Amino acid sequence: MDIPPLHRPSLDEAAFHNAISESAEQWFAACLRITRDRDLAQDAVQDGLLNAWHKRGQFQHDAELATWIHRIVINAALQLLRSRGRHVWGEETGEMVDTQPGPEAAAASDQFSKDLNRHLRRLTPIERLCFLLRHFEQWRLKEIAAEIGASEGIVKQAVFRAVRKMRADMGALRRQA
Amino acid sequence: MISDDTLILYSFGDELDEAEQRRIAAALAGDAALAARYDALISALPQPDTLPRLDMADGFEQQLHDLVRAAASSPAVGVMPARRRRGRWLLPVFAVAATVFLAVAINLAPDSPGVIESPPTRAATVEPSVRLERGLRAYLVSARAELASLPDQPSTARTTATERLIIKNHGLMSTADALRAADRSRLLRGFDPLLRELASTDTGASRASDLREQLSFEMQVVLTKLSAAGSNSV
Repeated sequence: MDIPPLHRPSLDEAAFHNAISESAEQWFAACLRITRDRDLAQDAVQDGLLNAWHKRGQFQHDAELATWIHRIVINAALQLLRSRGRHVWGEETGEMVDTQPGPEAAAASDQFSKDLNRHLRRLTPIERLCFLLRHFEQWRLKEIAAEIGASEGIVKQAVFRAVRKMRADMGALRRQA
Repeated sequence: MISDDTLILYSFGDELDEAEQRRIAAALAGDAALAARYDALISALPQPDTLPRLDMADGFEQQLHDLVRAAASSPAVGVMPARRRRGRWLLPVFAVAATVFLAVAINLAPDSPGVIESPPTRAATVEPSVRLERGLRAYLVSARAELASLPDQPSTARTTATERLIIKNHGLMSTADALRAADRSRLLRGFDPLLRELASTDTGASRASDLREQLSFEMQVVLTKLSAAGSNSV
């Protein structure tokens, strides 16, 4: 009887498995914060991981592999948002508008809003996205601008508004306490 | 006076030039009121470790491991291949990922896409065949939405997104086979060659558009039949 050969992971593959074990939760959490939809977040992680695997020859070992993959899955999340038409730029105001709220997106958004209500509840979509990418994902403002197709000035103002709103909310919470 | 906006940029560490960073650092060190204003500004910002935990679905991490294992097993997939040969490279992906997706598909059969999945205790009380039907409906609804958003031009985005649909399709096929739901398996099998052709970078924009339309139409037909038959039919 022929016994199929044991699958022995290559060094590359082993490194990817380690990265998944260490960081898959963080990738998913980051994508969920951005997409506010569990299905989209899962799709983004899968897409990003596949893209990272196919591009592994471009990894320059100047950072941790998991960190490199993290950036790629974030890009995948943003790409999915664009491709699903979830957010559209209003050219005049530079504001992002949620064009397809849909019942499932609203339900997911409500759930997500409950989770992050304390911190991000009053932010507009662009303020939330720019703040998440800058504050949590450590993207430079110019990188965010290039990714979302806006000027650096618009991104900067969105981040500033986000911080001011959160500070106002924090002040209100303290007064209530 | 140093504005709040400048303090925010300073807090990021890499938005101001070195001279400006040093100037503000020196100002903070020498001005207690400024330092207090800075602390108040930064303390309002949520930190990653204070955010609520956002758990992945059961089995999702294993699914990722199998995705990489399947991609690594394919002899035709090298490092950033320029073009993928139609269909052949996907066979190892199906063999591994589909068997894993079997368990995930049964456990993650929501009523509609985007709805937060039921906790395991609720899922365990629902018949597998019912969960298959729900999973099938959810897959078809989300697949049609995905197909509608795909670009027609050959691209990494089109290929990657279609690969994902192929894996889901095969996962549900395996589930249907395991439950001896031959008609469901046959329906899903019918989508496979169309999806594989759509995934291929050899498929041009015009043909991709036709394929998307055909798949969307056929999936809608199946959805209509499922609705007419009721959730308990197998």
